[in-house]
Amino acid sequence: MQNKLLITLAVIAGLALGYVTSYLAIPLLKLPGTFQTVGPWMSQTNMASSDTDWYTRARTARYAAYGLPRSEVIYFGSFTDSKGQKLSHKCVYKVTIPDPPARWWSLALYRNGNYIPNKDDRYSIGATTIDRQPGETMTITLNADGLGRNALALGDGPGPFHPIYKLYGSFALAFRLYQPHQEALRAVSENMLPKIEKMSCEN
Amino acid sequence: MRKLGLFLTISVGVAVVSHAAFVYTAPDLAVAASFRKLEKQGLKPNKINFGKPYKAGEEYVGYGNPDSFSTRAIIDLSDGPLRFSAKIPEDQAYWSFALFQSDNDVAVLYSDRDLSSPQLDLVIATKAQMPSLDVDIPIATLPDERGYFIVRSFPTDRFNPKIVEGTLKAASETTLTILDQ
Repeated sequence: MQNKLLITLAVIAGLALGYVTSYLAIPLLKLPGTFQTVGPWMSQTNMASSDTDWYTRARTARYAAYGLPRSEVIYFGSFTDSKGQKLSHKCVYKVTIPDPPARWWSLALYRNGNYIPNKDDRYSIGATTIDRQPGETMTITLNADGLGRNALALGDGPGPFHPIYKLYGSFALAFRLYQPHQEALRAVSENMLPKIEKMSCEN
Repeated sequence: MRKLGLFLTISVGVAVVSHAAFVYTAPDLAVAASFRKLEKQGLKPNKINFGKPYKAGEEYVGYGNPDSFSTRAIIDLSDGPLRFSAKIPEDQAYWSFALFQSDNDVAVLYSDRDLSSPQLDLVIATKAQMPSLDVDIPIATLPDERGYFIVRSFPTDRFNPKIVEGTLKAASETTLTILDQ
């Protein structure tokens, strides 16, 4: 009788431990080669594919379902500027876009996974919407109101006590390369990705 | 002492096996949860939903691309194979059709570059339904009866009313019907 109870309790404890460790491991465990950091940019090396490991597949389905494979789109995210400092809505940033090795690209702003409200409902600038003269370096300005040429709005911020603000900064950037060229599929280098420079900050 | 050893041996063994099982089945469970959420939002199986991208504050977008005009549907093949047809609108920076399995893997992917005309026609069927098919268009297969597709349209300028109108018109002409052989 005692042994039956012991075995039942051990099975319940094992199931609970298996569930908790899997729940924590799926977002946190990044096996070698499945995640890439290039300057301030982070990218998962594959999205929706049966040939990737169990943890990457689980993480993709849970947090980024219906994403396209890397051969079609490379997704990059950043929570910092190019010097590694958290992004803040109280600062002005200059984002310099190189000539991205892809058919089309876009740079978008998010706060806690959402678009940042602004009067023009403009949350991104892409290869076909950037205002650029021939031969001119592509730059995008991130400032409070999104005013100026090729500018995106950072808004009022999430409030000083918002947990995301404390952990990651007050906004995030996503850079997407659609139908990347072979050179980007082989290896992404820092000079293929935008440089994020802090220009000034409010006190 | 012996009982403690037995308890630890069993619980750790069950933990290892159940950990692997939870991780392995997580994609299917996540997609099933996503379908339940989409159905609660009014997306019925085999009914196409299309529209403009959300504006800030309308809906949680989960890092979605603000440039994407998405046409989507949950696929249910329990009543037989489906025929899918879509037009590729003009003035698109990028266009693609992606069919996802019930475990989130991509089953089929077509972009505008893969197509010789601005039109995609295909049949969606399970592997088991394949032998009964006699069609002259491509067949996309799913391992089971459930799936999901997204057509992503990226207009060259989503602030240009004429381009947006053309994009939405093409999206509204997308069809998904039971295959009539």
